[in-house]
Amino acid sequence: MKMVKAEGLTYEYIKMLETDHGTEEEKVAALKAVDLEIEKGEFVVVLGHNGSGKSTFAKHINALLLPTQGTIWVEGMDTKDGELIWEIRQTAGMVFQNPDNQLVATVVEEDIAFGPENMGVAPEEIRRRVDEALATVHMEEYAKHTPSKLSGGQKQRIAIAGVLAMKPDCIVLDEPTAMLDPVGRKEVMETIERLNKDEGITIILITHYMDEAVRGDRVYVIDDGQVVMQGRPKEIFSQVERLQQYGLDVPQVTEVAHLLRKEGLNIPADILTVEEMVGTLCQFKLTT
Amino acid sequence: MSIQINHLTYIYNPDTAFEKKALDHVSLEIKKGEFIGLIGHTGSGKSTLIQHLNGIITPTKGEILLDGENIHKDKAKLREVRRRIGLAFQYPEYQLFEMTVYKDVAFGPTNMKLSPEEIHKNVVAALETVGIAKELYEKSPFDLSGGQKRRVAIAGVLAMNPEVLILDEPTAGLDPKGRDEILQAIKHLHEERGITVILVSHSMEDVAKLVDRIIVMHEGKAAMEGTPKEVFRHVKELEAMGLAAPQVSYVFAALKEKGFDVPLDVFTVEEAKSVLLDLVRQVKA
Repeated sequence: MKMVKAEGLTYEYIKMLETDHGTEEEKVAALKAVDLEIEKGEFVVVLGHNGSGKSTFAKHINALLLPTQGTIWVEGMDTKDGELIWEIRQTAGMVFQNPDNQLVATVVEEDIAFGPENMGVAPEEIRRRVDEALATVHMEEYAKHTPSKLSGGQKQRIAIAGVLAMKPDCIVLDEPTAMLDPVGRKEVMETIERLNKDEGITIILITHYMDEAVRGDRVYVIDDGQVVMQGRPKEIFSQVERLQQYGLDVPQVTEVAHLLRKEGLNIPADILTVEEMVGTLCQFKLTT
Repeated sequence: MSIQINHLTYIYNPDTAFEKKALDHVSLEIKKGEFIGLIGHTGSGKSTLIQHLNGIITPTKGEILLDGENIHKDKAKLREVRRRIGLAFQYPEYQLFEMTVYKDVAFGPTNMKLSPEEIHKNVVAALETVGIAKELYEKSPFDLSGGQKRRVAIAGVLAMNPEVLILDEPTAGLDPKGRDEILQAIKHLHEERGITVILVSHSMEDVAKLVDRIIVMHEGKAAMEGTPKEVFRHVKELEAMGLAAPQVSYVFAALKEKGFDVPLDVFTVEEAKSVLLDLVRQVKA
């Protein structure tokens, strides 16, 4: 069974427009017949400029939005089945952009316990899950702290721990590092990679940062509500001009490699990291 | 107008268990027309510093001189200080509230009791500077894209004709297109109006591309100062302060470590391309 499967996933909504003739309704399609499959244990990145539909897609995985046409299944569960909604939300947890909007309690461990408490989990089991979740995000020593006094990166890790305490199989993160400084971004990315590699949790990461996107197993590019590209990071990022056309960036080193290729140098198009760039350049036997 | 900061110290919650020194004897000078990049990790003191410049908080110790005059000398003049030094907060689009783009930008100049003609002139000039088209003037600001909203919010500050514009992370949360629009607008207003710009940013790539001088804040002190070329060659020191250099800087640092004769002050894509191209061609020739 796939972790997430979408067939003809379409989402339309009515937008009210103020015009000279009064208010008019306009139908907007945020997602247009999206087909995709995400395997269990995969680390998938979703890219797209603002308004491309990627957040709308993310909200479908968690049944926060329901398709107006087509179907999306989470571990085989159709999100349109109202009976399954809590099971779906427990299976696929969500972490949002703003760390300040997701924490509810005044003590870190109480915040993490919020989810399992609402699920009716037994107190001893809650205790165990909270401790485990804190250990997984490397925040044990902050159990008794106040979330408001933590850094942005720490707050996001607590938000992730809160999702972990519900024992999800999949975590959807919608631009979790957009509001963080470089240290916070690094902490959160390391946590995400650990969850994927060590805990086997399926990760669906929505981001604008290309250096984060290159760390995924597979990348989907969404533009105007449709999947326009998909593949391994190397396949996607070697198409610099096409990405730029969709309003996206490539990592600085990839762009340098692209420009050097255009000048006729024999450099691979799929350079994504500093190490790869240095390795390639060393073969040119530069002046020492 | 020049800004002179002398031994600026600020302590949050003094004489309590939560006492925290946010600024520790910071001394800086910012000259008229400069484009400054202010960087530092969260909690380094950069937000506290810019709030001082705008007179929102009063120093515990030290002083801020605006054209030689202490901004807190005469409390009645603080309003004037805030007009001359405009501050666009983080996520300024949250502060949009009017029915139309035009009215939102006009709010500041209207409060300044300018004549209707002057208000109109300021509003149009500000919106033009940030690249908002006339067709959008009568739209609700809430119908705009993220990047447009933010440019309208910045125009609201510009419409008061500040001599210094401080922008606190103006590109946070925007996609690459929205980010480029904002940076283009900022570059344009700096060149066109010649006003002093202080850009607070976590994006070293943005800072590298735009500013004349970088000030690095760390633990409440101005830890480093210099042109991008001077600052970004200190990759290790920046990392120790929880910061990073632009990605290409790391390529050159690694090449140098391997014994290649490369410059260390390369940090933009264009520059990297031409330096590497020269190197390779030199060898071939």
